[in-house]
Amino acid sequence: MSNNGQCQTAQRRWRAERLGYRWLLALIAAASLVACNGNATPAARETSTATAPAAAGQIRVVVSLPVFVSLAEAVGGDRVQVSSIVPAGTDPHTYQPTPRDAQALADAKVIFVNGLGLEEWLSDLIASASSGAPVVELAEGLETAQDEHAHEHPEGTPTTEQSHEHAHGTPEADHGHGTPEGEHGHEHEGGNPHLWLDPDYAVEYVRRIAQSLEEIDPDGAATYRANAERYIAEIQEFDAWAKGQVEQIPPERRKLVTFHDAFPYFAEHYGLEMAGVIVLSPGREPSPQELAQLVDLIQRHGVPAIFTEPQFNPKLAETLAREAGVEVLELYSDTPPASEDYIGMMRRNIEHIVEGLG
Amino acid sequence: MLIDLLLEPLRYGFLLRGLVAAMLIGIICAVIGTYVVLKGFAFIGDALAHIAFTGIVVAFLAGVVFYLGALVAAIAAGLGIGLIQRRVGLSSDTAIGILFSGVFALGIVLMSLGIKTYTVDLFSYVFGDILSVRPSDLLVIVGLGGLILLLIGLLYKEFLFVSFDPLVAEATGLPGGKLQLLLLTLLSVTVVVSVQAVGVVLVVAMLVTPSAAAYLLTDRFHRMMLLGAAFGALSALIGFYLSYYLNVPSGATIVLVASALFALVALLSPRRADLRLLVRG
Repeated sequence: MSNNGQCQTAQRRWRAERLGYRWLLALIAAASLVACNGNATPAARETSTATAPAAAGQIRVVVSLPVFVSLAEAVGGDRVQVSSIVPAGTDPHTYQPTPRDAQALADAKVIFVNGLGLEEWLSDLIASASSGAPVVELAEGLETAQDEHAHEHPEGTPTTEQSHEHAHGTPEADHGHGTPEGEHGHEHEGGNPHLWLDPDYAVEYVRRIAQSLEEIDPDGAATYRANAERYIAEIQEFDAWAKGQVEQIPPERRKLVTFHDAFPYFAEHYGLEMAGVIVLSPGREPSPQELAQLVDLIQRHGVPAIFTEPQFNPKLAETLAREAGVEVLELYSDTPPASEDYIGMMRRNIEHIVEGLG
Repeated sequence: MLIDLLLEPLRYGFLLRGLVAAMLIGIICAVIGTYVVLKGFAFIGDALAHIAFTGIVVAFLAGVVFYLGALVAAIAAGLGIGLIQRRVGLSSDTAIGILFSGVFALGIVLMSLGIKTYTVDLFSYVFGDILSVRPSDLLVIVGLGGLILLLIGLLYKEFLFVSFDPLVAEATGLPGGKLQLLLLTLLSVTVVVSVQAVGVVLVVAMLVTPSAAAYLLTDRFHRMMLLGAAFGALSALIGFYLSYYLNVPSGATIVLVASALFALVALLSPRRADLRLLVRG
């Protein structure tokens, strides 16, 4: 079973490389099969000791993305040992799991994922490798920015009806009008999954982590609760500072253009207007018209800078920035920069926003 | 009116660069693709692009320029393919398949071993997008195109000879092995540079489809080259404008236009020539 899950994930990865053609698959199918059959089960056993050893009594916690590691560690403290499936700095949309990931899942007492389709590629692996540990979807049931978001930002991403009209009229003439009924970009099922970039939602994530850990390890309940409250206070303290920072940006410059659509909640929370995204969904190639409209939009709205993410090739963003005559800066979404926790990552984001837009 | 439609996308520098790059690559790839089609190793473009990925991983781990790693890997692979073919006596497709999958898998393993910190998606460095062509990319394409067209112009007869009749070519005193390796090297450089600039799907198609369409229309090698180049450039031009007005990705649209052009030619062309006719032609 584990072999199967891995092969499927591997194949999904091939597709995700936006190569857009299948016959490559046919060619490497043999190689893949051999690799998958050859290594999954035995190698997984072999490396069981190689996973970072948990001290006696520590609870093994597996999270899907690096950004959740610091949340789980903040709550669990010394009582838990946290590892992430997706390594730091890898694009989770295309990550290919290793046998050790399967091993970590098999050993886990609890698995935290974001949910909302972000880790869909992981579900087969969890199903096959996990030994029945509860899988907690941190974003489950939280309100997502699916429809609501598109309505709030009519200038949104240039995919919709609106873009068709741009083709014929001059973009200036089209200004101001338009009630696009387009879906907003990201093709994750169940709405945009990047809730944690809004500190209010991050607080909710922390509460859920604490609650799950309490259920698994009732002896540590008091510790988890205290740790969670302390980290929540830290997040709120950061949030107050961040809001003060954003207020220094002149209101007409609070407009955000990002590489992929990870920041609608972040923007909403800090009163930034989500003006546009470059790539609607990772791997989906933008059309020339979409990019041309984005350039128009950046210039028309006076968006001072555009933001890319370190795990993506900056070439496209740089080309657009050159065209529109604006700057390119970085934001972090899935992985905090080295040796930073969630709050450190968010602080960097705010600093870059202030630097770019302020 | 029509002129307005044609000029509208060109108000944007990056779209103009994309169009020029696509047409140039259409021409360069079709010219060198003539050999690819006639020798029958159509998927070498794809193979070299993936081998270049491994070169990029190594370059990343060694801390050298990505481009250099990709070029070295692709050239080495080109030579390796030539070697496997000559020494082991396997067909070129098999040689490509062995090298391609092995080297690409090596890249994936190396990346997993070597990358433990924050970094970019290395795949995105192999597979460019026609809409993100920078002025410097365009310069590289122009320089490379000039070099390749010049070399093929100079060594046209020799390349033709060693490609189709290596034994006779060597018997007449031509350095057959060296010429073949030079041709493979040119191909490797073309693939790496074009794929990095415009993406793998477009390059693979441009290496094969326009030349194949041309092959259906002529039995003269140089005409096939010229026609192929014309088809390549035309596909790029039509595909670019279609993608702009239909609001779909440019690279894929250009490929579709090339495919449609091929289908049209295949339907209309009365003849299906034998390969050997071309050489004797």
